[in-house]
Amino acid sequence: MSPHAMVATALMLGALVVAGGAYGLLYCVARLYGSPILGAASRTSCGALVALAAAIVALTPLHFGWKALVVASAMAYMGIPPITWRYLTRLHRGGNDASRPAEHAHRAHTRLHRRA
Amino acid sequence: MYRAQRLGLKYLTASTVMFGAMIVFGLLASIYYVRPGFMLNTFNFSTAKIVHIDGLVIWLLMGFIGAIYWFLPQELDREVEGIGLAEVLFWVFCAAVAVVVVVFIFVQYGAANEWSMWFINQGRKYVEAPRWAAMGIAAVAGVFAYNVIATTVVARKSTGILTVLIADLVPLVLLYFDAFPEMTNMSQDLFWWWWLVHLWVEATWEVLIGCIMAWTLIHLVGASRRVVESWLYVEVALVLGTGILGLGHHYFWIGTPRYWFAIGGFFSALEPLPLLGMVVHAVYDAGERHLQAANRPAFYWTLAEAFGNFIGAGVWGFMMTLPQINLYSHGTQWTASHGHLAFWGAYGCGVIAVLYLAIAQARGCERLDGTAWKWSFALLNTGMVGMSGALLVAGIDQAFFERAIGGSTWNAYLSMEGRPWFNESMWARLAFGLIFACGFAVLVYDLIAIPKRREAGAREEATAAAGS
Repeated sequence: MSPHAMVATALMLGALVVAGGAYGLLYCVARLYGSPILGAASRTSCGALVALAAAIVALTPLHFGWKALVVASAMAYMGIPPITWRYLTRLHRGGNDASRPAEHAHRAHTRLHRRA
Repeated sequence: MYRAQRLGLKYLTASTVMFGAMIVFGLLASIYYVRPGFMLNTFNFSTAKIVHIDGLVIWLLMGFIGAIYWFLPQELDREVEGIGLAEVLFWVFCAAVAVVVVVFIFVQYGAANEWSMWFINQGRKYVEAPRWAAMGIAAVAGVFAYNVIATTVVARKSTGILTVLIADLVPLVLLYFDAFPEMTNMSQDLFWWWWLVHLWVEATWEVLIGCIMAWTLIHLVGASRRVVESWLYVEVALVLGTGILGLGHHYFWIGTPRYWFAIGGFFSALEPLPLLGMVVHAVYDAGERHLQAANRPAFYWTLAEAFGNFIGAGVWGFMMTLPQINLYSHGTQWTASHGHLAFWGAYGCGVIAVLYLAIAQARGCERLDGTAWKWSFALLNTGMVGMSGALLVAGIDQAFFERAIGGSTWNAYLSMEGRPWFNESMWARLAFGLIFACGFAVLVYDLIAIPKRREAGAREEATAAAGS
């Protein structure tokens, strides 16, 4: 691997994970606030993720196995936010057995100070 | 308040002191890069670096222990078993750390013999504490594990978080014994030494902070235990699934068989995936609470933990983890950059969140906000991102010119030291280090001021009540 290719590959790999993270973050925020602009931004990040994976496959001197791993990782980055979101939504729907946060915190403080 | 919680507060205080010491020696170490003759023959760079890195391990470890002593009695509604012994060992631990630091500063090194190993420096990176102190740390870890396990057994009650914690404490303690072997074969020595360093940091510590964050979320925002525990199981499975064999990325260049390239590269590449899941979870929870919590500093530091972990460990790690890149990047400032941001994100932010939560609960401060914590949050994170960015630039410069073009020769190393990008990055790192130190000073001020704020709040409430 040439010195230039080494730096370019490393930066593209880092950018791939940044794009994955940006997609995850924007996907969640867009779902939370139902914002079409944020939804578009999350799709743009997803596009950047795909473009970076394609660039790594086409332009870097990594071996075939590593390129396959990068493609698989990119697919996982695309899948994790919606899957996790669905899982969390289901979990929270079925798990609302605790009292409201403010009440809970108040109870914890009262208990603590009664003991002190 | 339980005795264990008082002990937890002492550990958290000691952890903050060690955090400060780590910053001081980190700043000192960064000065050598811009002034190579600094304190020549008086205090060597290697010693400053040892205290900086060992200080990091100790402040985080003390923070974890303090957090667990704080949460454990609340979890089981009873005093911790063997608390007297734990209290004694806290002072033994602090005294041992103080003696070791004094020896590192004033004695620094000795002849290559048994005496030096027992009383000056064990000579193993990150666990340099002399053997007597290492045995003391093993005793503290053993008693701590006993406290948690015995209390759970006596209480005849367990929770999902406690079960995960107990399952994690066993390897955590056992792996520390890996600090002791003396091997003359360097490859064999490094092979086992990485079990301690990597499996602590990227496996057992990850689970430990997962348990601590689970308790933090329950106490901070009243998160449902069922939700928190279900998510903890998923995260622990993913983190351990990728993290244990991710160990292989340390085996690339120490003389191990070639198959470690494939194993290390593959599992390390998967390591950012669970971290993305954590980001999604953090955003979901933060959105559900509309970014509001009674204890805002603890809430924001908890959020910073999820994002910092993803960026520091995920992004920075993935950049340099494949063997073709790692060939040039390992051991450069690039690695230091990854180390700084990953430790900060994965552990540092979490310990600070617990500090705010525990101190506010102990002082009866139901609502916590203000200006100081925002300054501290901004300064610490700006300082850390700036330091990591500067080290990244220096590291890429090193990997490019010294390693890839220069072929890692002595001449390439020396010419690298004079390169402008490298030097300017080292100055930038020092400047951002100072910003980070200012953030720490504001953090300490804010933590000390919490009881005063409670009194001021009570006075305001009394005035309002009298007025109405």
